[in-house]
Amino acid sequence: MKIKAYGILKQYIGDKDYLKIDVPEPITIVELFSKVGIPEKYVFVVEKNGKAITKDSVINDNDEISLIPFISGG
Amino acid sequence: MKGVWNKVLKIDLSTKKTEIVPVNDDVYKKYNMGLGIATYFLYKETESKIDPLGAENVIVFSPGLFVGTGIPTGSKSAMTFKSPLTGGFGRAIVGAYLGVEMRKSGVDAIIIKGKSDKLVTLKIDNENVEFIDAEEYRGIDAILTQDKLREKYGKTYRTCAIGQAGENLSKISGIDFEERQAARAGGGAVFGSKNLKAIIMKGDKKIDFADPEKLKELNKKWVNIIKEHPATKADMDYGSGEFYDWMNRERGTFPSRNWQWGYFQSVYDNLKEGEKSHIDPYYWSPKYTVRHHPCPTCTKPCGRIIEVKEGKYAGTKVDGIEYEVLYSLGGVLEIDDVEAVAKMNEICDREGFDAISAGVTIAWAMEAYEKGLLDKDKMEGIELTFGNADAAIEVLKKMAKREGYIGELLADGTKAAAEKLGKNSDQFAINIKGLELPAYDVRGIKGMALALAVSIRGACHLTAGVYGIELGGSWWKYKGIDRLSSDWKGFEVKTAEDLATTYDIFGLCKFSRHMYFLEGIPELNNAITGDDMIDADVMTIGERVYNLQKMFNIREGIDRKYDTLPYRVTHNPIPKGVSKGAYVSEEELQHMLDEYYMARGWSKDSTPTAVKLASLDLLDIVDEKLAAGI
Repeated sequence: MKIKAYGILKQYIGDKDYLKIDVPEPITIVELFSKVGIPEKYVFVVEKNGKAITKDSVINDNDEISLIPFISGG
Repeated sequence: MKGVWNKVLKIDLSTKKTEIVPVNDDVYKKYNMGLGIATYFLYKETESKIDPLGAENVIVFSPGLFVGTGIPTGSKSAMTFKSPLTGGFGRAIVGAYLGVEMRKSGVDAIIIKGKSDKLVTLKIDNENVEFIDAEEYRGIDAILTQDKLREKYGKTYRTCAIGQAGENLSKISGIDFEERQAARAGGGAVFGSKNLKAIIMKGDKKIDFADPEKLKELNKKWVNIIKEHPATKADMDYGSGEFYDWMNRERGTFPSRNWQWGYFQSVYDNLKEGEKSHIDPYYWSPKYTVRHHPCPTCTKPCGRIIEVKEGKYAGTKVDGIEYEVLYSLGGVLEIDDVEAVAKMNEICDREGFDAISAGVTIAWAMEAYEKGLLDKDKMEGIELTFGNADAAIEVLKKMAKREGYIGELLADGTKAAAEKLGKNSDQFAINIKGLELPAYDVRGIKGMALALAVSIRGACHLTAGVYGIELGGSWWKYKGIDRLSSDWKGFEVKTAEDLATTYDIFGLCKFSRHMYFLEGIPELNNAITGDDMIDADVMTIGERVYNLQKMFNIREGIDRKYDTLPYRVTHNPIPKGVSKGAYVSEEELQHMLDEYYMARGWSKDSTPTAVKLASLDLLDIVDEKLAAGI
């Protein structure tokens, strides 16, 4: 699974453009947070393949997940 | 009513006379403070069709109700005037320490009219005004002027001033408040036209709160909520540009190269794994930040002082760099050099330019130059091509002085420049109602396109502030928002405008609206005033003030015809990236406008109906003849 994270969340994927992990069985987003060590409270929006999903959604190994923090703005 | 002074101070610069005018509780109940009474007094004190740069224009300044109360992020004051840039309602909101002094001064607003015969500084101690000759500061930059004034009169005075841009009546000039700017819509030129260089103010009275103990308890509560909020750390560490990288990579809606691109293509297409754009705050903030620079009573300061210590821009020190400036002095000029952006930001602040408008105007000139539309013989050797930071810096300095062909051409923004140049250059002039667009490529954010099109002061991102709702898809009670759809945007924008207006009335920073939302406001108001306001009352005040602003524009003849989008947004799709192919067709815009006016209770030509104005209790100030039937 490819995980992209932005802003303050990027540090949790090693400050890389994306992190690749193996997810042999489908898991929920909340389980993903715990697997990767991302504090849930910092995540505002989760997207699967470019579409927003809820944190209880189930995801698979071939999904691309984007994690977006809160936007205060410009 | 507790928590206010029930008085405003009128200052006539022509006669050098001042007057304290009593204000009854009903006015505060209807309009509250800040942008509320600043709108009320601007509407009342001006006639339609006045010259924005004439003595008859009026400047109203009022701190929000929460300013000076210790409420965290309750830092914003409002300034209103007739805009020389748009010809309509002018508004600028600023995190001003001078606003805190006014809150302690015994008056709730100052209303300035007339024109001084010489350049003047207003020195205000509580309610007492002195008119001090300011000729010695002519041509001195806005920040240095304030430093000198504080040196001379004491550091307890809080200040604001204009720079050369304002003195030279640039329609894209603003007013500097100790390195925070009331920048947009040309307020600097209004100061300049009145020969008003600066204001210094000190207040030493104590605001009489209805329930001081409750207020103390609420302040403590909100300090903790803000401290624990997940956005706080990022805001403090990286500032308002924190989401720059995401805007480029995941949304493709960071307008670059004068909106020829929807993301910073020449940078992002060439980044290697792990590399960052040099204007990404995650690249520059840790390197250049010297210290935080908070607005009054902000416990989550996004403002920072950055300093360039080496290289050709060594010595540059500026409050910034805000997200908007990463665009207006970065991406839109195709400049990925943070030190050059900092230098231009510093020039804008010191000369007194709105950094958004100034940068977008130079971007227009770069495109015109590359298209061969500018007279190269008059450019004094300046190669004004995209990416040429030194050329942009030189041009910026010339704009402040209206110097030479290029300085004079650009000094009043893109609308005036394109009108002067002709040659279809309006097709890449990025403004609405004359005000340059902010850092959101609205071709791929359609609710935001509507918000900018209808915004009272021209293309303003904070009038509705729906970028977070649109880009994130949900916020507060909004859910399932599709940024590429043009449906239901009318209601979305209308509601967000009313809520955002309340922030400018109470003086809360909009960068804390995902903390206070709507529900945090009434109990704070009630502890200060002794009122028994509920959520719905807050929204009604926001809607009332918004409608009065709209009536100001209607009185000027600014109706649906002016609620437009730049040609580039309606005709040139985003060429590449996540939002490739997105644009807003003329049909989509008209559909969104119809929905919006319907949601607002306005006619098809955007005039508030008499029914709407009556239901908001505005017919005592607005002439019913100006309203629409249904």
